[in-house]
Amino acid sequence: MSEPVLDVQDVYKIHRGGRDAREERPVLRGVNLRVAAGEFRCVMGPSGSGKTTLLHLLSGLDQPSAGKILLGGVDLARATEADRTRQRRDQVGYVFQFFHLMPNLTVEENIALPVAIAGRQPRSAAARVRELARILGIEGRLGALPHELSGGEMQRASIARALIAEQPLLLCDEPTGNLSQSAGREVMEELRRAVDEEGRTVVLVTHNPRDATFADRVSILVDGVLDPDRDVAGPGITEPAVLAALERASA
Amino acid sequence: MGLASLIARRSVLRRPGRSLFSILGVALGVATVVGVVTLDHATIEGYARPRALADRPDIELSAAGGVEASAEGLQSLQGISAASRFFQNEAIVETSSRGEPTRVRTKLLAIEAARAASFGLFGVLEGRDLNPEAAAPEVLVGPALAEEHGVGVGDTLVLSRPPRSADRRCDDGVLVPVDSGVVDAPVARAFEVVGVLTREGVGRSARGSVVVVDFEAAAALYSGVPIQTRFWAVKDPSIDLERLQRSLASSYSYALNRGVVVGQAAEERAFRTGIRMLGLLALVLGLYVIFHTLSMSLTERVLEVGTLHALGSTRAQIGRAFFTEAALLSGAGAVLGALLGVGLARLATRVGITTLGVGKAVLGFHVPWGTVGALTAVGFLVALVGSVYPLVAIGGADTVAALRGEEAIGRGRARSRRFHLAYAALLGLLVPGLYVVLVPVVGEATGELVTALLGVLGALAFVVVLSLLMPFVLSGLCAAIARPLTSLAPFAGSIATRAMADAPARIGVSASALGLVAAGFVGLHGMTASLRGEVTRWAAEAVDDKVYVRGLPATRFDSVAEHLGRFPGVVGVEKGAARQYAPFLVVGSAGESMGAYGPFADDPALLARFESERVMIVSRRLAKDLGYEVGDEVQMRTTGGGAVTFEVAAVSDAYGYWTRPDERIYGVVSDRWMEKDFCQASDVVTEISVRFGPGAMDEEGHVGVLRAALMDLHPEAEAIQLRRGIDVRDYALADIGRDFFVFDLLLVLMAGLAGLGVLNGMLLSTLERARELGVLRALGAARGQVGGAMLLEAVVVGIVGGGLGVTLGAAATPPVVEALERIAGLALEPRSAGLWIPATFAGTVVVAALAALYPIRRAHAVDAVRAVRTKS
Repeated sequence: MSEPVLDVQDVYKIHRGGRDAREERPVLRGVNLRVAAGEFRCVMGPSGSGKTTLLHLLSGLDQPSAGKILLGGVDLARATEADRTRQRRDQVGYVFQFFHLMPNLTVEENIALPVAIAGRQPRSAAARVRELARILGIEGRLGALPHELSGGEMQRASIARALIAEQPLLLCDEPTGNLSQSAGREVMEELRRAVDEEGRTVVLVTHNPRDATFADRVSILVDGVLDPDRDVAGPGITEPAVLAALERASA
Repeated sequence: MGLASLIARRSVLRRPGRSLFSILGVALGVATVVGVVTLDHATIEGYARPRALADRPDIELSAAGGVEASAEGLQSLQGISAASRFFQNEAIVETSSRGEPTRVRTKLLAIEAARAASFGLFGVLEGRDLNPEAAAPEVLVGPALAEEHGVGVGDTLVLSRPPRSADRRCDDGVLVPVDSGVVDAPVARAFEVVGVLTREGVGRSARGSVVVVDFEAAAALYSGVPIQTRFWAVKDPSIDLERLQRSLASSYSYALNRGVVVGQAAEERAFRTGIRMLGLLALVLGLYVIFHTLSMSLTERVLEVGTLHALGSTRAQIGRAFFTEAALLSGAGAVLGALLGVGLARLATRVGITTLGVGKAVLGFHVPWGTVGALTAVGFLVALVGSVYPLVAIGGADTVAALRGEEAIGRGRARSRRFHLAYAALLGLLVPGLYVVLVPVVGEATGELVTALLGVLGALAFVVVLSLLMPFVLSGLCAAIARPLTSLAPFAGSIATRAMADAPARIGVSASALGLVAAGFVGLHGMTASLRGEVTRWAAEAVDDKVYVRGLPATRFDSVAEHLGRFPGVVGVEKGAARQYAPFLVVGSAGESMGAYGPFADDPALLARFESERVMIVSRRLAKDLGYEVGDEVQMRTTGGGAVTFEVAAVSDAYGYWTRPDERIYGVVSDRWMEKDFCQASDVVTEISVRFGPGAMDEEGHVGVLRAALMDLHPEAEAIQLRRGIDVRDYALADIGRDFFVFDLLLVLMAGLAGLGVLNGMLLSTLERARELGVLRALGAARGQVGGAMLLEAVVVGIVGGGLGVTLGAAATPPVVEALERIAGLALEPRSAGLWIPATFAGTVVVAALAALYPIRRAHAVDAVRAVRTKS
């Protein structure tokens, strides 16, 4: 196995508060996860299992209660917020379930947004924006505003935005959750292409077993625990195999 | 284009409604204050300066009898910053400039060369000014003298006074010649011409046939002949006119250069101060609106913030984007506001609206660009500081919660409360402070003015603190009012109640902004009611029962008084023509024809004294302004140059008021003294006022009877004009309404501003709740139901704002009236705003309801499909 892009070591996340300020609610309990460069890893689990929380920790948006998260050699658990932001900017492309395109920017400007965030002129990435738009089939929608797009188009724009700055790691949070079956399939094919053709590393969080078939390895998260023994590894991961693994984990 | 610029520009351009209303919020606030300041400046410059006589300093004085006057003594008086003595007389000029000796009679002006130089009385076209240290006598010549007689610099003129004509004196009202028996021998002296005057100021007097010489040298020419030494003085601008008048009253008669003192009289000063206070209120209100618009816009955009942060934007980058956006909005608003303010002021002056009242024509249009620029910058900077709150809130925003579509701005509450406190202090203290620094206080910064300003500040602080620090009080009140309505309109009631309870800051700001304006309306109309009350009280004593008669053929007063006295209802007749300024207006009338009313009716002994002794009845305003009480002595200079003393015998407005000039500061003396001391014979009159018994003027018939009576006396006279006293009173009352119409205009502008605040808040709330509204629509809620909920919310906010405002305004009226009384020196009693209270309350509700219309339209445009398709 090549050097991991992401190394999660014994991570706990405990939410405090709620009605009783002293109440502690463990979401992740000792999660370990190593994702190699160029790997397409899928994390599955039932609702409330902690998938999205894990993704927030991997991106440095949130910090674990305990444990280490090494991204590009930096431990996000101990990094300052500025460092985590920098890591996210330089290392992570993010695809959200609800797209989160900037409502005032055109598709073209949305795709180029990470370039602007990195301090470069968005114009400098114009060719790449058009190329990604062509690959993702939205080249005719570059001048449109987000609310003028279909759900599939919005998610493809979101993927293009995640690819534009060429960060090595793509974090995808239920990217097909709001899409039709065909649109979802197209999106997954694009993510697979990013791994195969561009050498990106993808961590996909989903509860859709069909999406999981695009991954190299599927990890199952149940009650905040990620047991490597429950992993389903490729090549040729099938839906029944994923469903069986989920069933076993939930049993 | 960098990230900040990209986000900011796109946000401004792609949300035109929000951007427009934000810009309008700043613009209206800045426009009102800039408009007020510009209008005031243009009024004073355009009304005063063109009327100022170029060759006169602020005040011209002559000493009362028995007063040893000197320029040094005058300068030591409070209110005088510079003084110089002078006299003018006729002189004979002998010149040989064209070869032949010529004698010219010309005007001579004797000045103190050292002191008068700074008064700007004249300009020197050729040569130089007089040298106060010159060894030989020097003279400046007028342009006509120079041109017509070829007099030039370096020539020598021989000056002398004209041979003295027979002197005359006023002897018991008759000017009689005086033969002194002395042979007249005028002194003649040679003067060197050192300069030729320009054709302006003194150079224009006597059509340019004038000479100007040093006082001492001129005095030598008039040795042995009485000369009337007078004084020019410059008013200390930091001292009020009334204080100056009090300083001068006992020792000097004076004439004020009207142009210089425009806007400085008590009423004018109070009026201008009031307008400026409204400007201040508008500035605070405008900034208050923009602050909350910018603040609330964050809530709507918290998902954008979260997304940007998730994509790797630092908080500093996001902060810069918001700051840039705020700068764009504030800058555009401030510049637009400045232009709008100047434009409004220009429009106002064109239609006769000024800070001295309505219907006054001003010449030209002068803009105080420095002050306008500074106020624009203040508006821009304070609005920008308001945008710091979003930055503060962003600092505490929870990105993960934002991405989940949950409440993301909760952790920074303590910080934002501190910020609110700081901003409240900024609005409550710094803005008024800056305003006072930038805009000079009208008149003297007296304790009364400071008290009034503090009162306004207190009201502002109360509302600002209430809405910024305790918004839940107002929002809770709104929710409590709306809650019972849920039984009538279950959907609209419950949605509106919850919306108001959930948004205390928005509701608090909207209600308090409306409340501020409502308070302004009620306070203003309470104040005008008090002013009207003062006029009504004065009119009841001075004019209500009178008819003013003009255009009477010259008639002996005795006969007309006797003739009119026979008609029913007529209780007295007063003379209208015998008037003298010495220094205030003194009116002469016959005591016996005024005995049936006023103080004489109550005290016959007073009437006897009035006829036989030098006593004066002073008007109430004169007594208040100059502090006269019964028994005080008033020194006056007679026409013949002597001095006389009158004793104040009563304070009353019952006698002597005349409509032209409209002067309520005057004293009434017996016509006997007008003749004896001021050489004003008034046996024959062309103007009189006729006093009827109480209540008679309610009947038009009395005027007809009076006209018939006068026609009976003068059958051929057709030009007789009658004016009823109640018409004079009504005109004065209408005048208050006309003048204070400016205040109403400003308050309407501010009502628009407050409405804009409500609109902004509701619009942002609509955008923020777009998904919720869309889901409601998807669940079957009709547009009318959604709109009804929003309208209900606006109406309740209007009710609370209006209630708060009218209560505050009614409570503030007595102290405002008291402050006005102190500032203006008017005898006012607090009066209620009356019907304006319910009208203002209703108007506030209407403004709030109107402000809801655009947000309702936007809510109707919410896409239900999109709302249910996405999480946010």
